[in-house]
Amino acid sequence: MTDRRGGKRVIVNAAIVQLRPVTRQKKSLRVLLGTLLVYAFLVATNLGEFWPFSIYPMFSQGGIPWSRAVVREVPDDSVRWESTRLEHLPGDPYPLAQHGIDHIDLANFVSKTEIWDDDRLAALRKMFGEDELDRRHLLVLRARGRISASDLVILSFEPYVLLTHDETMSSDHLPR
Amino acid sequence: MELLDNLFDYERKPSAGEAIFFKIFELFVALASVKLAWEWGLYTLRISDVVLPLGMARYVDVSFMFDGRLPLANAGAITVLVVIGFFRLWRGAYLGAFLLLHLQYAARFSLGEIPHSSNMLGMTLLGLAIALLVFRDGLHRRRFTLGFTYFFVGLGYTLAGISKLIGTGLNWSDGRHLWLWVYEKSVDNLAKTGTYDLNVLQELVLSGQGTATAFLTVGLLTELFAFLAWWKRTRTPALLAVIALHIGIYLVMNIFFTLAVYELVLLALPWAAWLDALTARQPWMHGIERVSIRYT
Repeated sequence: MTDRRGGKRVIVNAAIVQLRPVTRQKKSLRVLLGTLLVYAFLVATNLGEFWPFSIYPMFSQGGIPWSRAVVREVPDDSVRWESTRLEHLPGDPYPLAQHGIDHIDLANFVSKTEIWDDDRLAALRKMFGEDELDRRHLLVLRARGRISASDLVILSFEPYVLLTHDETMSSDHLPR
Repeated sequence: MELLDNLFDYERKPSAGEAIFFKIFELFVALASVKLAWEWGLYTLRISDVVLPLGMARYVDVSFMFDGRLPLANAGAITVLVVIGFFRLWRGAYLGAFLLLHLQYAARFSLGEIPHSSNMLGMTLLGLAIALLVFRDGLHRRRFTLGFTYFFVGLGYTLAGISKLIGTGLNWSDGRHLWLWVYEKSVDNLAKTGTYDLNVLQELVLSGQGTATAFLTVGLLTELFAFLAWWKRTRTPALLAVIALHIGIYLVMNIFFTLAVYELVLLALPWAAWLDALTARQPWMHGIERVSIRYT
């Protein structure tokens, strides 16, 4: 256990070798706890979301009514601005995926817009693109679902905005 | 400390399979980050207004990202940083990529959608970024990155389960809640594809409250116990259960977190051991091992 300069060096090296795993673990623990702290702080101060940190609240509230959006291609601008059922939806389906539009984005855009001012309607037009609106009349409807007292799921579809090549018409029920 | 041993496993002898697997895993994270950067960047070109600010957008007005080609320039910068990080040319590269990807996310998801499909990947990229900055030894970087990922994957799913118990309570598993979500996702499908159909499994859960309740109960328990991925012995079953959960969610609710499931498959199965067995039979694999170690 001795070398040319005596025994101490060997003992010190052995101690370092033994300590290394503990040091690595301590370092890892500190970093993990530090990240966890930042995680907790950011989700606590940002309503549970600060990508990629999250409390993952999706589907956490069971039984509450939901809201989505669907788009229909209609032949003209004569729209009945009244709520309707799935089997009575006007026009033809406009499959958003084929046109590169995220259906969840549209659903949130429709449900989270509180004031339908000109800027918001212009943003909706931009989502579809003017080229597309030159060719089609698109009706954006808000879909709602809820459970009735008799345990049936009730779906309803309310026309919100009609987009044509030269006009943007919205339901009178929308706050402006 | 036993938990730390299970997560980071620094004492385990290094192997060729481990080194090769880690580089494959890192390649997946790098490619997925670049894919998201460009997808989000291209979509941001369609956006002109912030409906719901997320992340840094709550503090900084990200509408500057809606002018011109900035989202694409940002995607390009992320790509370059990821390549630099992958080949270990600069230790801060992955952190830079992570921060720019956060900006890209904040700009892309400003319309109200709060997706969680990319969170696991984001946490893994953060783990890689920290590993490169904190550790100099390749072995330590590998073990830390994977341990960090196991920890936050387990935590994430368990938090999702806890959120459900807080948000609704023990009756979250009431099958009628699933009925409502099945119809919600069917309307989503109508919006997305133009067709409204219910598949066999959806018809099954809608046919009886008991079936739907059982489905939700199994899902909730899987999430709550996902923290078992922190321990070596229970890691594979816990992660395989989470993969099964994702497949069930896809079949019943048409939601599939593609990147998350691919990452779970990489994390759940003993790829390193399989690669070790392959390396023992195929000596040319040692060349790949050397390259993997060189860039760790």
